[in-house]
Amino acid sequence: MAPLISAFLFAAMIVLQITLVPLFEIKGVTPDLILILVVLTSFQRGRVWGMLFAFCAGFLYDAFGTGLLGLSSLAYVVSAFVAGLWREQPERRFGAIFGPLLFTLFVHDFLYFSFLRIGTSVGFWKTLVVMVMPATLYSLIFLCVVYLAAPMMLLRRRTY
Amino acid sequence: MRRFSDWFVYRGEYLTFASATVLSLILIFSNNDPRLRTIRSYAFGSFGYVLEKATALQRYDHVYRHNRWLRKENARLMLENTQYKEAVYENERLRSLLEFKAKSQLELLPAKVIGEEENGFIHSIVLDVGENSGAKKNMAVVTSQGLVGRIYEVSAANSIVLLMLDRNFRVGSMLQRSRIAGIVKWESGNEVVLAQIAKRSDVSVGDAVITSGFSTIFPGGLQVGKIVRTSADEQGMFMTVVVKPAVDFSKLEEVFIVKMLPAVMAAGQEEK
Repeated sequence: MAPLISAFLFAAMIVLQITLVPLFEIKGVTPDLILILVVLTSFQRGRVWGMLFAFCAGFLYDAFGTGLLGLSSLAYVVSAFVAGLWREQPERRFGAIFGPLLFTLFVHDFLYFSFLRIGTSVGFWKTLVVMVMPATLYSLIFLCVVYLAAPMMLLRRRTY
Repeated sequence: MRRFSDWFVYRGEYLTFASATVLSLILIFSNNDPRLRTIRSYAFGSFGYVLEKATALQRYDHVYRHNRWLRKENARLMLENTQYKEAVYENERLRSLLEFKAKSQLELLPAKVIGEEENGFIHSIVLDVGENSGAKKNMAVVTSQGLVGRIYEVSAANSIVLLMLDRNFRVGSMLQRSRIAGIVKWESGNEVVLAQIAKRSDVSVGDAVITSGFSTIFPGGLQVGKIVRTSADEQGMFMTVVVKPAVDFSKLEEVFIVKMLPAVMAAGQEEK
């Protein structure tokens, strides 16, 4: 059942990401719904499941667009691995997991944009300040919205 | 054996991580592999269908609003048309005087933007037309304002367009006034640069930049943008020419595909 739910959620998120999310664009920065889903999946279901989902989601996301095939997979897999590190911590309040989630989103955006920066004249600090940090914060805001809408999506631990 | 299985279970997370990372890196470094391109083409084809259905409601509302706008635009264009007719007559007269051979008109295919991907370095849109309507890979995409980009991938019913603000976009261009040629590419933000312009070239702020037609993909004469600033460092041979694109990419709703086969593809088809 879990693979079907994940596949359905992924399909819904990617459609939203391409159709609705551009409406929320601020200065070229948009939140990454797929990343939020990857982080939630890894946080809820563990690292192995999270990374497998992250790899497939990243591959398909790149295949649907013009991005470098494999880059989203790499960045999502690393995020899923990092997100899974916090899964076993006893305290499941949002306040306690806020920092780790922020760190996870940052790791993804840092890796993703650093890779894309190769071969362009955009400087490291500009990438960090203009692209990585705003994208991380924007995704975090959306993650907070998910938490406010359905706290158990973030706090509940599932097992397979 | 048991020790091995225990080890595998214990280390499973790390093995998954290592395998997925290595696989991702292999994918990154084999992006030009034809097999991957085929997979990508199929994936996009099936996704285009889902996207088409998912955006149906959004499109009805869009069509209604667009219809209203078109009626208004129609009235305005009718007024303008009379002025243009005069210009056309004058143009034809001058052409015949100069024994100018009229170039074939570009055939345009209208398309609606149904999706967008943007994240600083990557900037693309999804169109509601594909191979079934005559769109082909690498065809130029324009609006009435100027050049938008080129078709990157095409499926039966949809196309992905690589916009001018994407890190991988390049177009051979020239200054309309002084005919100096260079290559337009994205550097950062919402501006592009005209690269490979010699330091002492005749370049002024406000000059219009158009496609040069030297490219195998883009027809010549399409508006690219206007120069907003220039700078040259003491040591280098070239100057930095920053161009503001003619098209406002944040307001793309309708575009046109230039149904002109890129030269390389056309040559390939002739050979067949």
